[in-house]
Amino acid sequence: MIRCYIGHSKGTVEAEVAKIIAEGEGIADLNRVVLDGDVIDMETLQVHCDTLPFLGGAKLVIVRGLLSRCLKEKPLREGLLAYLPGLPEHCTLVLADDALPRGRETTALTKALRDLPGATVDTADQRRGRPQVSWIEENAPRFGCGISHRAAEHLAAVLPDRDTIEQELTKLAHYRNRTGTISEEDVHLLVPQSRESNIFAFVDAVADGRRRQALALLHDLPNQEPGYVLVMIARQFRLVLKAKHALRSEQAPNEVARAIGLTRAPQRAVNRVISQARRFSVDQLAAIHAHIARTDFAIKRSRLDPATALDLLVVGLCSIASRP
Amino acid sequence: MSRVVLYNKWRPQAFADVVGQEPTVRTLQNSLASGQVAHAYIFAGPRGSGKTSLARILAKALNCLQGVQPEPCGKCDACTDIVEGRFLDLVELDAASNRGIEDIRDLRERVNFAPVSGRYKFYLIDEVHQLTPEASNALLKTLEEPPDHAVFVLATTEIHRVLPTILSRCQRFDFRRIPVRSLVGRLQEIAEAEKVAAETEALNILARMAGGSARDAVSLFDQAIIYAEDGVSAAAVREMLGLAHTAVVAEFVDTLARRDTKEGLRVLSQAADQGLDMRQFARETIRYLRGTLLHKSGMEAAELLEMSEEEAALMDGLAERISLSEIVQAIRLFSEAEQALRLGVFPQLPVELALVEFCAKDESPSASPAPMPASRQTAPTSPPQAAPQSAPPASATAAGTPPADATNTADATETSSDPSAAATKTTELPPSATAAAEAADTPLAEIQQRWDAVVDSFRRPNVHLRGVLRDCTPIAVQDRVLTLEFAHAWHRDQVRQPDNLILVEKAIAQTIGRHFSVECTLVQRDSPASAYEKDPAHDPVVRKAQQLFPGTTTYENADEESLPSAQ
Repeated sequence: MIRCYIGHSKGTVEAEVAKIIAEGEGIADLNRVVLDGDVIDMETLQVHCDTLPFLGGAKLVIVRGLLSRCLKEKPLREGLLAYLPGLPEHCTLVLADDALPRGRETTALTKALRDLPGATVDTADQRRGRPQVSWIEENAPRFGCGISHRAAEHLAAVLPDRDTIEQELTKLAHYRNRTGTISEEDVHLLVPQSRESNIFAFVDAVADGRRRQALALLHDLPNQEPGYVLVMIARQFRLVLKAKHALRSEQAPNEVARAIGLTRAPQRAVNRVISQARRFSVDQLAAIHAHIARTDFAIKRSRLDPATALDLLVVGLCSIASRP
Repeated sequence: MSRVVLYNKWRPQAFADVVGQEPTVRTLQNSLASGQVAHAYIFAGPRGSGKTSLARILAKALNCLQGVQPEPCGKCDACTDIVEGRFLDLVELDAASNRGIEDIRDLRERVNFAPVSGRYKFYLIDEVHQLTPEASNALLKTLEEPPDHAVFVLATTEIHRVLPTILSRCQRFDFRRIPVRSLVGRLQEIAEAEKVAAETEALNILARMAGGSARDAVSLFDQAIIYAEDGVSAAAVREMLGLAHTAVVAEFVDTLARRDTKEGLRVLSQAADQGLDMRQFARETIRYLRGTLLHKSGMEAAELLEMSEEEAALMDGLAERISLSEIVQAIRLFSEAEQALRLGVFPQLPVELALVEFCAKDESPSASPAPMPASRQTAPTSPPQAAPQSAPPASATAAGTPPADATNTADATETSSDPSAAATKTTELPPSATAAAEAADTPLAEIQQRWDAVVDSFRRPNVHLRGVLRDCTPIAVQDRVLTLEFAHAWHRDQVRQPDNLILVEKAIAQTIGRHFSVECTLVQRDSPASAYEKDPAHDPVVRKAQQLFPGTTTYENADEESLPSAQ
């Protein structure tokens, strides 16, 4: 039996493996092997799969990362596809991999695997947004508690991948003592990335010249190590400036994402940068950059207490932004 | 017999002792109760927030002989061994001094050995951000799939310097600065246990000075106990730290709001006579002003800066009498004074100068206009001739301080309830800048025309730039980038220094009324295309000659060959 899990989180694969163990008979600890697909060769894999189970009727071989390597190494791919039809009946082979790059070779490989007798290929839905939110809502009970829709949306928006989501869900579930429902407040309290995402709201507040809100958001940014906060602010405004230039040269939004180097970021983040770019003039952005540089110097040369310098920066940025 | 310092004696030994990190403690205790402990944690947060202490408590809870439980017993051999630092299965690694790949390889080899006496082999890697990239990468595999008997806790004060690949393998907890209230509670507990009489106000001051660090708070308390023999009073703590009473700082800031130099100097002199540390006094003034700034911006300043009710009430009154731009200006001046105090011989002088300078400044926010496009600054809401007349150029500010930056125009947004007033303030602009902007056809021509004014705007302490800038000529403007051509590399390098570059850009903005980024190039002496040769009018020597002998100028090229021989 061959089971392929592509793009699934570690937790999901572990849960599936647990099911296989529960369903299968006699897969004792001694008959379970976990192999590293990054280094293993075909010969070793064959030895592990072909060896008869020890004091049991079945054997489980789990290999992580082999499929992505197969895409790069043709002989390995051919060797694997040639071997798999003859996989002994006592062996269940689990091939777990991160999301594979899109392309003809990936399609060919997954098709070939699907066509094998007794093989299943389960590819995770990698789309962000609604599918991610649904996945969180469906999987939260696995961690011992429910999750509110808003909390799920929040998590989906701020966390990069399912492995990280699982880490945070584990933490949140423990915080709630594995009962009840994870709320948005819990997410804000315990998930650091949640507060990091406030940088967008902060820049929005600056763009509108809403000083009070900008200051409140600044004080709510996590890990208020001023140097780091300043880097976050500077990075965001640099992205806005780049986007501004890209928009001026009449590039389409998807080209803007490439121009500002946010190709791997969610579209929502890119759209936010673009909308912020439209709200500032080039002069304002130039003045903002100069102001950030001055603050940086002032902090690094101990001319200003870092926390005070950041407060002054916000007041200054709002002042620049509120000019006509 | 040597005395155990309080912060060691009172280091938290149980989860219940940890203050200010309730969500983290609750999560860890619940995971211990459910028996689902992660194999790797990362604790991030400022120093003294309890990262290492909590890691050791976790190590105790996991290895306690009473079993894995949400609170270690603290009495069994394992718990006491951990407290005394001789538990073989707790490995503490200081990544600041063991940061190489060899150290991590060594750790990787040892991690596979089963624990000697405990249930888990516990690795605490402190300051993990200090590991070299190679060492961090070597740690990855171990972190991803450690043996069942191993638990890792990585601690760092700079989470952004930790590799994302490490972060993704650990359960992350962000520790926060401990609130003053929690620190005061902890200090009260210690005071009671140590049978030391301590005023709540004194503990408040100590907690505030600790800046959210429990270690610093207990350390300061320890010092205060030794300093004040008959109990820790607020007066003794202030004396020990050289702090001024809130009322004194409030009185001083009030004189700033009134621009009453004489009274301000009197308060300062009195404070100095009382033996107050002037640097601390400047810091307290800045803190007070910052509180007022936040308060004026609609924030809960007292809560944010953890000020006492008395301070909050005083600040409330002050906020009505001082404008935002004045606060910003005062903070800058007193920050400079505080810095100058580090090196100064006369401890009072920089603060006095800051006071005098602040009181001497024109109240008008246009005294230090921010770089703004001239077209915008001459907005139609105000007659162009009205505001500028009262506004001296920024470069003419007292005591030759560098021109202030955009924050000094904060009043433009402050009076948002009165749009007309706000609009009037933003329209203010030095008259020279407006005239120049109107006069010139192109930015380059305008800059060249006003270049002497830009150069002359440099005053002490940046007067050296005046000489350096005399050596250059503005030769091109493209996409708001102004190119300056220098005759000498040394001069070019001086201007290229980031600090100087900002000053030059600021001076240009203030004189011309528009912001330009500056690029510096060197005259290509071998190239016939040099700007001087293309247009001799750019040559500083020619320019000076034109100033001395006004009139029509004709240029003649004197070839070297046509010059009289040296002989």
